[in-house]
Amino acid sequence: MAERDSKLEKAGAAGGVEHTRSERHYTPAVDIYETESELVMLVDLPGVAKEDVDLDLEKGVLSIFGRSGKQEPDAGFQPLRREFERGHYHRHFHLSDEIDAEGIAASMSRGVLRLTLPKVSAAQSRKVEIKAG
Amino acid sequence: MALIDWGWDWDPWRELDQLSRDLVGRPGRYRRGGTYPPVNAYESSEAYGLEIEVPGVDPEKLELSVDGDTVSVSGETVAAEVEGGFHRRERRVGSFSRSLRLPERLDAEKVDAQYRDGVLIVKLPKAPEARARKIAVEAG
Repeated sequence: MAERDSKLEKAGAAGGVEHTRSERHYTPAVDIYETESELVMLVDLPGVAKEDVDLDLEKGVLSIFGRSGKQEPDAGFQPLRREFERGHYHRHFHLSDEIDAEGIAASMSRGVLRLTLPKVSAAQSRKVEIKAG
Repeated sequence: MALIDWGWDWDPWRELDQLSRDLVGRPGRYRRGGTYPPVNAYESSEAYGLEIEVPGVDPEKLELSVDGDTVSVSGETVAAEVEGGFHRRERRVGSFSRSLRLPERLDAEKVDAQYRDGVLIVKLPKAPEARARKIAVEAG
């Protein structure tokens, strides 16, 4: 799992965080977009209830964990066809200094986690310097 | 004289498959890539159970119908309106539709469907005769 994660995050925003969990974790699909005042993240966590989402912010790394609910069908039911695996979700992102960590808000609806990450006010007005390559 | 040793067990299709999985970014979770929505089906002596993974769908826009031995589900996920464009866009948006044929005919009158945490959970009792009808999806 750890190998898969690192491979993914090479293409992604984060890397270098070690994983010590032995359970099966999948990488959820994410949309990220920016408005004038904040960054919005939408994370697909199907099968995860609101109370089973854990958000952790440490040293600028935002970790998202989702624990999937019921793993087995009701008694008497046998698997007929399986197209997706049930498992937990994990993904992490490095936040820039422009994010106001105190102001991060989260809500969960229909299996989708919505995070709003406000920009610090200084960053809102600061011009971004473009470096010549 | 071989200029390049490909190895005996090199399978270009397997490599391509692995590569595409890496690119999609959700390795291992889905089988039958590309078919949406993904469905897990279960069977007991009296009924079928389906788990249909459709996160972010308004239950009002989810439609489920049963006809004979076939279950059809359709719906739509609406994209967020974004002015500045996306930094990252991996979630699926748009309309979807899928029909599944089960081994036996279903009792359309007794179908129970619940949408909970982005998963549509459907119980379909088996029946000798079948009639097509629409089932309201309850929000869980």
